[in-house]
Amino acid sequence: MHDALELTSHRDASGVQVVRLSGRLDSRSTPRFVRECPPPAAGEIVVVNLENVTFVSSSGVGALLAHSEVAREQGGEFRLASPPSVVMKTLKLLNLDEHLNLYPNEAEAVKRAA
Amino acid sequence: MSATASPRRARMRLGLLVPAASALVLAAAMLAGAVVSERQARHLLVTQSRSRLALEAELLARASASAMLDGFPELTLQPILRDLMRGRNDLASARVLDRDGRVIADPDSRRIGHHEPLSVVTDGGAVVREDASNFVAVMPIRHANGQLLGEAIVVMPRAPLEHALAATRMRLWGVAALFVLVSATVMFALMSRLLRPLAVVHEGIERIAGGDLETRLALRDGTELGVLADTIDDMANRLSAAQKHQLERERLAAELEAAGRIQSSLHPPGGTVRRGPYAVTGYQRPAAEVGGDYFDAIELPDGRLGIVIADVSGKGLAGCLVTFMLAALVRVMREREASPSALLLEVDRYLRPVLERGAFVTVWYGVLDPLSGDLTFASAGHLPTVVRRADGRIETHESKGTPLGLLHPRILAKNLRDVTLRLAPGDLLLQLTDGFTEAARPGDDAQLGLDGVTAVLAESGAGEPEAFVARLCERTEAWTHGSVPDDDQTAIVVRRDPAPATARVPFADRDPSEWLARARVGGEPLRLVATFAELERLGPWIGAIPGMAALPADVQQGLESAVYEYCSNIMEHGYRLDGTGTAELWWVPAAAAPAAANAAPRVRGWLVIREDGSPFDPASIPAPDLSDRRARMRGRGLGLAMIRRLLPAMRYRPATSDGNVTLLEVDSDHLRRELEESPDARCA
Repeated sequence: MHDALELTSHRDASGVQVVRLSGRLDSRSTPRFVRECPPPAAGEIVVVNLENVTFVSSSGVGALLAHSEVAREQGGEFRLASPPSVVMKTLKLLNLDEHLNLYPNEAEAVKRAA
Repeated sequence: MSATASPRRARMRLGLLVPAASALVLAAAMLAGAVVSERQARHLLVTQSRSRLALEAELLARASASAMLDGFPELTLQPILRDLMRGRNDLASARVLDRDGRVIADPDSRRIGHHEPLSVVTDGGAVVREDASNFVAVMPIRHANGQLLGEAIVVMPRAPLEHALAATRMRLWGVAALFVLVSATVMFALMSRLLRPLAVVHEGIERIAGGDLETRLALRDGTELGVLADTIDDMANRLSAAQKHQLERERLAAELEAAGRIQSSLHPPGGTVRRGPYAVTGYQRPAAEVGGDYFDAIELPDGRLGIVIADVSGKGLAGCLVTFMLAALVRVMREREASPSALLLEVDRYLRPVLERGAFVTVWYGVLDPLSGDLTFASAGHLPTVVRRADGRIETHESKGTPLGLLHPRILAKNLRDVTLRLAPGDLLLQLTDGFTEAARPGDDAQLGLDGVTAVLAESGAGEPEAFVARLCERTEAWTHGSVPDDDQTAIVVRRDPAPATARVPFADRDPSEWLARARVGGEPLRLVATFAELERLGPWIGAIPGMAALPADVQQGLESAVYEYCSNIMEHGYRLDGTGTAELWWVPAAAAPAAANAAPRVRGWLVIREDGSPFDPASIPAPDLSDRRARMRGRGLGLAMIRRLLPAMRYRPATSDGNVTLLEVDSDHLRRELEESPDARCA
């Protein structure tokens, strides 16, 4: 039985890992997201495109937050691109936006990496 | 005593007064002596003059007697008279009369032959008469046979005698004046010498009176003035010491007052903190400027309220310092520790090293969850917690916890226990320090006791908590006859507003069986099996709630998030995702309130959730401190914070006859407000 999260990942020309999520980042799917998209190691950059996320639970938000902090500690960069309103509202509700690297869209997030 | 008083001046100066007076007295004495001595001198001189004059008259009479027998006594007498007069300028004149009164001899020959009356002279010696200007001695001249032959008269003027007396008097006056002058001078010098220290003493006292307490006369003087000066120095020493002591006391008093101000700033300002239907009122009456009691009501980030009351053994500054530290520890740890007992253990760990040997602290710490009405507390050796229920019943909740810092931490950890009370409408919880219970009655020292306090609680109606505190203070005052308390009196009262007498009990405050009865009227519940996958059914189910479709997508998603988080907890913690347990959800709409025609669509109601998982108290899950990086790295515990923000109220009733029942209050306006507070996505 599959959870409701689709996850595709590729490395672009500049070496940035781009992860595109769509569907629900919830209690069920979050463990898989954490497994398949580990926090970037030193010098690495991961951009997570949230554009097609339809629902985010506290565990999903927690994973994004934990990845950001772990990346920061390891010297990598964990970026979130084009968060939809449903994600943004939850982040604001918990006052977490200030602890995350947010970008309006994927191109911006990747470009800044170069 | 005024420093601005003009220097005083003596109207009469002793240094002049005494010499003048003594000169006056001396002059008077000398005057009296002079008068007496002049009288004596006069008497002596007059007596001498008279006897000499009498002798002259007798000698003249004797010389005249033989001459009178001659035929021409004038011839003989005239030379005798001349001889007598010669060299005797003290005699004015002398003459001899015969028995007929004819002048027969006179230095002035022209007077011979003149007549003058004979003095009536008896036998015997010469008679001396006095008149204003002369002494006159008359001696009868007799023949050997006793026959009267005539008279011999010798006249002496008084003037020389008076001159002599006057000269003597002048000398006497001169000597006296000199004497008075010398003595007055000596007296003046002596007085000046004696009174000079007096000026020093005067000036010194003026300076001391003017406030210069460092003045010392240091007069080395053997007289009584020296003793006086030493006494004044001694007095100045003591005044100066007393003044220093006083200044020191004032400084200390000012510092204590400042410490007291800081200490009272540890309490919630205004005394009462309100949180929905709950009012927390604190009261403190310190026995001194600073106290060893502490209370506070502090808001936790998740909306719950931390309430603390403590009594530090020992009063004064030492106790006050411990309360500062205690307040700081409680404020720092309130967000980190999961339960009141854990917080107290942690506070004990840090407080223990600073407590003096034998010192200890009794603390009561409670957390009020305004959503559920649950108050969970732990007590470290504090007085029992007293609750007056809305129906007047009094409950006393003892605690086994030992005071912080007193016994080994292991013993504290073993005895500390979290106790949860539920405050229903109209209930009142009281915590206080022994300043109230041990208030002593004058006379027999009987203590007010917890019974005395609960008696006040029992008598009080369902008034405001402030009114109860005022009443408690009044009773304590009456008990101690208004004497100054010798221990701090601190009380904290938590009261839930009573249900309006006329209104029926709100749905959320009713028994869980009523919730379920009402819910079941609405139809079949949504049944979810204990897996995460099942939770994906919540979204469509919520979307189907009547009226929900008219609401913005954000609001629907917000509600889904809150319910998702709550159910996720049940599945994960209650059922451990066993795939067999079920949770049932009903939607119970609230009675529709009349809405304005153009008002935005609104959905209000309750979600009733029933399940049989192992009970867990949502309130026991601490909110993570997201300012702490380690907490962010764990990324856990955010769900309950989401629920608290998104829903106005939550009631959890574990282990009822129907299983665990939860009531989640839903108000779309509340959701809208909470979500609107988050502005649109802002990107880096």
